[in-house]
Amino acid sequence: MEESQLIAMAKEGDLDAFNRLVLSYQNFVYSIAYRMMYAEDAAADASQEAFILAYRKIRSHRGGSFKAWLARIVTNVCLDELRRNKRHPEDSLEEEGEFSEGLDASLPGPMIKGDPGPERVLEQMEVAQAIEDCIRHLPEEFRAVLVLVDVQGFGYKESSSMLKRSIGTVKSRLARARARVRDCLQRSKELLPDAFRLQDEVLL
Amino acid sequence: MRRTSDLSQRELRKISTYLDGLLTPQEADAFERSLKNDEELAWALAEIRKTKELIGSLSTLTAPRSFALSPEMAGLRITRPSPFLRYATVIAMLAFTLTIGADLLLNMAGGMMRSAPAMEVMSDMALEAAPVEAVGGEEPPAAAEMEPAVEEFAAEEPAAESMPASEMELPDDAAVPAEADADDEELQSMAAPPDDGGQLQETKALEGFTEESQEEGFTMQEEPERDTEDAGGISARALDGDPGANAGIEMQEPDRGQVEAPRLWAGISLLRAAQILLGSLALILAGFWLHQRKSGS
Repeated sequence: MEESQLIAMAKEGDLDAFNRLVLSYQNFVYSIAYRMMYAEDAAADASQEAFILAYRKIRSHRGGSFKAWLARIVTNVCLDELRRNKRHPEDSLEEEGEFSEGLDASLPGPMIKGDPGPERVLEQMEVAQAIEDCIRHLPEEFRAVLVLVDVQGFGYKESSSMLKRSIGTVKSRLARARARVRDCLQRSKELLPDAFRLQDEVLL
Repeated sequence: MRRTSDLSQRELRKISTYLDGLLTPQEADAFERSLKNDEELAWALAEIRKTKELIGSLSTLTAPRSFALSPEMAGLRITRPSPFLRYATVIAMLAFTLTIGADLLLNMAGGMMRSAPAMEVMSDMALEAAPVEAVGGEEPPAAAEMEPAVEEFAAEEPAAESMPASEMELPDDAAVPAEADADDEELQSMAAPPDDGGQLQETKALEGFTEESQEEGFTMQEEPERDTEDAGGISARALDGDPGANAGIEMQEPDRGQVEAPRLWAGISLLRAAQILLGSLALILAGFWLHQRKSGS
């Protein structure tokens, strides 16, 4: 059954149809939530809350990308939670010791073509962890933009709509986020594949 | 170590926008020209490009659990079976159980009622035999034969002692015909034989006595409520020796059955109907209840 049909059925209150959409998008939603919060439990809670909100507001979905609509909901849920945690630091989401454990073998591999051996898989995991660690240490507003644009591939306009910020703000935050991640990765450049190894010096 | 973050905000923004292909053609041309003259800007562009590719290489994470919504999460109101339906189901079930219990009790009672006369016959055989023999005593030889038998029965069955003394004094032959006549009249008025033939049989019953008729007389004593005088009268009918007497007795059994059985069977059939009705009702209500529960969940 096509996504548009499932959405139409969900708008009529068909929970089963909506849950089929949930199963299709739950990894996507959880990925955004996790990279916005970097806390497994909080990310799971935010994802669940996002789907609940999505079901209740699905009649407000006026066509267009359902994926972007979901991303907008989960992003706002996460930002609300992050703001709440700022007001109540005792409920901090920080899970310092769990960061590396929270990232499993599902982390990336597109840098290495073909069938990677165990060493290459391990290298991939280390690279992914290094990238995730750098993103995690970004300020929240930078992180949200970076996740939406560079990780999830949304455009500036969509991201500005999701974050309720101007396109100019999105551009500025994205540029600064990329520069910070680059500098962060530079500190662990030995982990990066040759093709992606960043340079300290200008090679001109 | 050079840091891209040391670049100005304007330069970083220009680099990012250029990488994302969002500069206008004019802006893009101007930026590319500046790259040729600015080594640091070109270096920064290369670094940011690689960084963007690395970030984009991150794969989608796997959700730790399913986020499919339950009806409660979705805020759907769960329709619970109405209390009326639940209570009605329970009441129907209870009533159904009660009817089954009542049916069992009635069956047990019916069985006891049927077996009770037989028990009484066994215990009253000796008592009933006395009048029979008294009637039979009209013929001296038969009376002479029966006297020891009566004594035997009296000795074997202590209950015989409870009989009236007048009835126990069977050897008084002279009194017997008169008593028999009186008994006959009483029997006619009390037992109300179904037809005139019965009266004739009763009259004839006084005319003879045989061993065969004596046995038939015992068979007659199955009427539990009849007193010894009555029993004696009926026995007298059997003493006639006419097979019709036996037939008359056999007719009497169904007659009594027809008195009790319709009442019993009427009760049972009512119970059966109630059982079927209540059982069906309970099943239907339970089905509705389960359906409501299922649809509610």
